[in-house]
Amino acid sequence: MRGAPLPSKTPARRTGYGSRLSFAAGLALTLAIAGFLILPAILSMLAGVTANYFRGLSSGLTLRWVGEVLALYSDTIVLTLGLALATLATTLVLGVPAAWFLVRNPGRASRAIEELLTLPIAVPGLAIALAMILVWGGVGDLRTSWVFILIGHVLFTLPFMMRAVVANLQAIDARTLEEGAASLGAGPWRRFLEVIVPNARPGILAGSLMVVTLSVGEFNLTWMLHTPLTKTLPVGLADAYASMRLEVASAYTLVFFVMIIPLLVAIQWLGGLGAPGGKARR
Amino acid sequence: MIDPTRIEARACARTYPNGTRALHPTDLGVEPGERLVLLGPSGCGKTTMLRILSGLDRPDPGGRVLFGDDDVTDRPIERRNVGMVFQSYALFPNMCVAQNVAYGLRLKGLPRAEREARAAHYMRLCRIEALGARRIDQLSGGQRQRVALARALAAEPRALFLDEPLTALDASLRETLREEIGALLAELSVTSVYVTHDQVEAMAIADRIVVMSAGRIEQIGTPRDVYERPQNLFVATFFGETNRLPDTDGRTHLVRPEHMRLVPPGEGIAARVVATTYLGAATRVTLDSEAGPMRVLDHEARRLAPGDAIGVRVDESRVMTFPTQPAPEPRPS
Repeated sequence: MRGAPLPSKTPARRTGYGSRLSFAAGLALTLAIAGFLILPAILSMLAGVTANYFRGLSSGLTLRWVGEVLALYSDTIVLTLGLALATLATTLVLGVPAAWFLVRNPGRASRAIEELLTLPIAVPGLAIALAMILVWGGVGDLRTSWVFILIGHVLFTLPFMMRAVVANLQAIDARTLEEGAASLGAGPWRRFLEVIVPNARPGILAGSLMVVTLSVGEFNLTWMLHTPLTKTLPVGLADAYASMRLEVASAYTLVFFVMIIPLLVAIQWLGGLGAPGGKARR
Repeated sequence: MIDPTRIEARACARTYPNGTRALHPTDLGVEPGERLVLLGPSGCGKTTMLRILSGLDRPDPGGRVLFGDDDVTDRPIERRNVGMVFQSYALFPNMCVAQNVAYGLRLKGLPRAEREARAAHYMRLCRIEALGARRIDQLSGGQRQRVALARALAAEPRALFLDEPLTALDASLRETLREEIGALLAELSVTSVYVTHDQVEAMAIADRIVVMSAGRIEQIGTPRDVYERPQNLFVATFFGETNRLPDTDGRTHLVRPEHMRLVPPGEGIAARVVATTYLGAATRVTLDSEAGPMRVLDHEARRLAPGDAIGVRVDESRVMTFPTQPAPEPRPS
């Protein structure tokens, strides 16, 4: 995740001959790779506002396809956002206290739990979804409810929330902060709500953005769990590509990007705030 | 007003889950308003004792902690009305200085006006009255520890516990602060227990010093007692500097550097200068003598160079004698 490969560090020790050249080469390479990654996405979004993709941009620009996507998939968009918020709420309620518990009770058991938490990341979403269907598929109306997808998303995103909060709590030496609050007379709840949570805010915020972004973009698990009535944006996108005009699918990509890019930017920005050296502590 | 309380530990011990004893069963009393310093090398059990007294940790079954006539053993720290100052400050970054100081008062449910007046009073005592609106990350280390002290005192605790409060600060700041803290605690006459591994700090702060090693108390006494009449070899060598004279029939003889005199070569114990450190008021001379390596404090402004021959005379009345024991040497701190 961290550390763009190139040039941020090089200028400081650019002393030898030829290093200016290697800097330029590095920059060019970076830009080339970035272009390689971004260009298809740009072209795809451009296609979404092109009147006729096969005739190219000369056919003119239009918002017709975007309108069609919004009309066809407004339910999906609402469901996706609702699901993301529900996932966020659940991971907050479960993840923040759980992270605090792990930090507060360090030991072999805590480390084992932390390892276990990474399982949903390592195991393919499809496998998790299959397991969920096997175990809970027959329970009441769960299979057809959006709650089923919520459970999947929580399983998948909870580790990200917990990791962010655990790292934050460890960095601020939360255990000593808690002892300080206790010494002044604060009971366990007030310590948690008035001292631990406010000081874990950067971690909670970073975790929250991560969870929302992952939930909005999750495909593997959701594709397996969805029903025709419980479709999220990425599943709808696959649908659109498979069954509709290319322009509609491309407009869909555009809508998707508009929703997710602000989230990604916010994550990067927050990551910068929390980085060592960004804001010195003690 | 702070109401000083007597604090007592009865048969308090602490054993880690793996069976290691951090503290052997120990009795300890702190008189009302007294400044008691727990002193010892790291791992001696001093912090464990502090945490048991304050209520951060429980003693092993059988141990009791009393505040006055109150048995507080089963009460966690938040229900003991104590104050605590930590080495790492433990200030809340989400609150400004004034909010930190007033936090304990808020928990007590004091009305706002009284809270503010009291917080202001203790901030003035700790000389941070100008910093009230600052964020914690805008403070220096010394300022942070003053805030922590004001915060702990503002709740007017029955006892104050300080866990190596100056260890994270640099030397000159440490010196100023330890004198201020010592004076403030005496003035407020709050019962305080202060943990440190630094004997100079201990002497500056303490009414009485408790020297600990390997989970046990080695000696309790005033700084003068402990320095001049150490009860055993450990205390004598850990507390202050000593020179070891040759053992005689199973007895070890120690003498402080200030109880030795340099004399012309040929008199006293023959020695050779290894190094000298000019301290201003005196010179610390490291010697290699017939009786082994020695350090002497010389007040006579001699100009000595490494290799010079010299004699050493010991003030026999100040030699401290102990049965030779395979006592664990204190680690230098």
